[in-house]
Amino acid sequence: MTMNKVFKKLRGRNKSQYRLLAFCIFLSVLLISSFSFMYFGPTVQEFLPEGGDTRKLASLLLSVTAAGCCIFTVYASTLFFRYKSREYGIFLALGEPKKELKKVLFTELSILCTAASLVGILCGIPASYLIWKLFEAFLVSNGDTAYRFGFGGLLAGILFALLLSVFLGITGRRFVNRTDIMDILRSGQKTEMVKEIKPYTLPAGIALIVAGITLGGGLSILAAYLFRRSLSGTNLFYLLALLGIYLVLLSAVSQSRLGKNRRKFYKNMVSVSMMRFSAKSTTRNMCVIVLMLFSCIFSSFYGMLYINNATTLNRSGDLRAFALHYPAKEDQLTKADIEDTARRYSVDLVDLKEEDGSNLVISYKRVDYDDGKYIDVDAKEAKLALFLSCEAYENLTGEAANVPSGSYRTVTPADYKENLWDYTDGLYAVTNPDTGESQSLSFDGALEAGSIYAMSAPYAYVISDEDYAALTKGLSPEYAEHIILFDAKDYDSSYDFAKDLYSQYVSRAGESSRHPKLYDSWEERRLSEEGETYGYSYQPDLTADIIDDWKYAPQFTIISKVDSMQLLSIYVMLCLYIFIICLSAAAVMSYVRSVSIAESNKNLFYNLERLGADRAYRDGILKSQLSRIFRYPAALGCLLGFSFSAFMSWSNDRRFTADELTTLAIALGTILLILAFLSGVYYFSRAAARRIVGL
Amino acid sequence: MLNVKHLNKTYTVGSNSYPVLKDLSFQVKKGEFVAVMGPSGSGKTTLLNCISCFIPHDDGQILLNGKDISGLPEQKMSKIRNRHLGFVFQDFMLLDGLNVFENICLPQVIAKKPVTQMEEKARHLCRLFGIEKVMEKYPAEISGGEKQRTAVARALMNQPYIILADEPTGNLDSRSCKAVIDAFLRAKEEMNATVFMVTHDSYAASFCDRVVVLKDGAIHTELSRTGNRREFMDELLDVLRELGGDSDDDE
Ligand SMILES: Nc1ncnc2c1ncn2[C@@H]1O[C@H](COP(=O)(O)OP(=O)(O)O)[C@@H](O)[C@H]1O
Ligand SMILES: [Mg+2]
Repeated sequence: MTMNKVFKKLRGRNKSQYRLLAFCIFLSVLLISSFSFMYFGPTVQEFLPEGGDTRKLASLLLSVTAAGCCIFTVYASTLFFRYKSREYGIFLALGEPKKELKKVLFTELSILCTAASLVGILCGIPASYLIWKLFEAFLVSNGDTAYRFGFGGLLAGILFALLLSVFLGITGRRFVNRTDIMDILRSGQKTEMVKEIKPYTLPAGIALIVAGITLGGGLSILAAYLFRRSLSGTNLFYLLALLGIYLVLLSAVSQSRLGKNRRKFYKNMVSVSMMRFSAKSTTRNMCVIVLMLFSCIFSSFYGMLYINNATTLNRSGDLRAFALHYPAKEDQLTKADIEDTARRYSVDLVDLKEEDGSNLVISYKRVDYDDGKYIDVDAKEAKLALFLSCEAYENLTGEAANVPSGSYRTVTPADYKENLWDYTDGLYAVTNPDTGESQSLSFDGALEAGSIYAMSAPYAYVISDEDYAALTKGLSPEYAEHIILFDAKDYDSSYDFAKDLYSQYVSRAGESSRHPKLYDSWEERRLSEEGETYGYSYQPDLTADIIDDWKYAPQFTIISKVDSMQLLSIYVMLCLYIFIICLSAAAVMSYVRSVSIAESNKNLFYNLERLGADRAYRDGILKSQLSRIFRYPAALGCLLGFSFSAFMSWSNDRRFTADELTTLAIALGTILLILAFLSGVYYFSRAAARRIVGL
Repeated sequence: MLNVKHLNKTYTVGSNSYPVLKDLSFQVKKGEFVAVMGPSGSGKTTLLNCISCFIPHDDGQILLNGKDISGLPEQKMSKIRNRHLGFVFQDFMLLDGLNVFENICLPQVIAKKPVTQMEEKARHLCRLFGIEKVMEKYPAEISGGEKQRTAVARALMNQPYIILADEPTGNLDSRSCKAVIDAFLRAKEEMNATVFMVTHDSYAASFCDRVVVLKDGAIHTELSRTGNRREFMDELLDVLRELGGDSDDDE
């Protein structure tokens, strides 16, 4: 019988010890690599804007998940080492050199890591593909977003597996380096000293949570509100809240004081004693679960917001399906051209209207941001804005405008809320840029027409026919704009027509319309008179697929809808993916923790049986401890996730929109689903724990 | 108090069967301190496990206070273990996460007895066995003798009909051993407890009223103490020497 045979036999008899660790490594690598296959794949990378919020969110959550996976795998490995310690202690006591044991241990570990990681990475490929397919079936309507395998993802998976192996190696080294044989021998039993949990743990925890949230969230809001200044770095205060959560959980899990209620103390005595030796590590574990559930809920909330955004694209009634405006002197698409193209695509056009408007110089009040402060500015003859006569507006939109002479009405989208910079009633005088003729005007309310609003900044304005005639007298044609608005009868099948029309429009666009979005000829003229350079005098690239930065870009909502649906579907998918990862990590960690609690308390249950504790009593004890491990993190994680989502949707505009409320309601439903899932995991874990302690 | 009649137990391993207890009959009266001795492998632990119904026996009766306790359903058996049997084991079997006092309370906590009397009684037992100084300590922080006295106190908590002890002094040095035997003697004197103890150790056994000597699963001899302890011990040593076995009769 050689030493190798001995080790082989031991391995054969203790398969279950290896199974748990191998499973944890496998799952961590699977989660991380299936995510990174998708995330680092070309499809997702090409869609996500560089440095955008979603990228930040994704990498943040990716690292949270990686950290979580590392923690629970290393945790599972300590369980593995605990099993091993007794065996190794006996070998050491019998004089087997430590070097040999080290060799055996690290060989076993590296084989285990390599095999489990390899299987994890391999399973990651079909896993990411399957999940991708699922989303594709749901959301993506056109074929541009085919699944493409990303080698970056493979690299990330391998790197993560290596990182994990390094962590496991370090844990293993620490285990072997414990010199004292007695120490190792005894670590199978429990001879470590009991560390009492201090009575102030709970109040201190609550105080820290409250302080952390108030300081982290409240300070920045207060600063923005009171001083109109933004603060950075207050997010660090959230760490206080995290510490508070740790303390609260610690006391919930393991504190029992012989206080007023002695009956309760003795009732919980045994189940609390189960945690005397592992309270801190269990609590750390629970904190990670709280974070996982938090990310889980937060990402599902984000996903829902994106879905909502996609559906709102459909809705707004003040947006016309097709809207064009271009310098009137250009040889652009005419009504006849449009009707021609429509006929070719068998698209029925509705309310096809065209009119002319004029750009005039405006004097208006607006807000500026200077040196960290918001200040009111009087912008005299500052820029051009689009003006329509009452008659033209009524013809274009089919709605009455009724503007009396000497006043103006501001064109806004429906349900418009003023932004920080512009006032709808800020305009007070208009000037003809050619003649210098000027007239003061007063505000007479707003008109809702989103398509026209989008054609001019800060707003488009409607004035009476007489005022319009007077102000445009002697105006050179370069200030005139031609406007065309229409709808399609069968909107949803007008995509190909829209694409064709779009490319015709782009190819006919002349010199005078090749300007970026924020270009203003009046500003350019004034600056060049003063000898300064104008920042917007470049030409936009009209050959790109999607031309965003173009003053005369056509507004064809069907195109932007399809495009943004694709974009949104990827956001949504990303969020759901993160949701799945976090949820399964939380489930695995809870399961592992339950099983290890049962393992380390096997003896306790055996003793209780001998002392005549019946099955119901023992079961009650197991249940009371396990349910704590599930209930507290679930409650805290869901509560925090929901509150934070609610806080986010309130703080972006200091109110809850209808969309945000529905999203929050759905988040509540998601929470219920998560809780149902977790209770399933609970029953599963409890069954496993019961088997271990012989119930 | 305990009446064992025609007890038979056979272990079956694969196709082989090993008879371990063969038609064993004996009695323990109330307030008696009885030891079981015998060479290793003679079936002492098996006997004790049969009496406490941790393992089923094949034949015969075990009467506790006149009632047959074999073959009871689990729920009832738990109750009997909790109320009417007390256990002391070689490896103490204290709960590591509970301190001495809480460990002693445990049987009544399981039985959901009123708290005040329970604490009173536990304190009394601590004083009786000289462990009130370590009441607040955890098992990892006390000596083996203190652990075993804690276990004896715990076994007495519910005033059982009988205490079953399997080599309670097996893991102890001689001074701790004496302290544990003293604890049994005190329990007998002060609380009229009945003790049935399996032991290897003729010194420990010499304090008993009666010693049952097993050999190959049957009673070899029964010795009652008549004279003083010293003589009784010599008598025991003679019997064991005669048995020959590998029983290590160190003092
Ligand atoms: N679970 C078991 N299965 C088979 N044989 C057993 C089992 N337990 C004990 N034995 C055998 O029964 C005999 C008596 O064992 P035991 O009662 O432990 O002896 P003692 O306690 O007197 O040393 C031994 O020969 C032992 O090998
Ligand atoms: Mg034995």
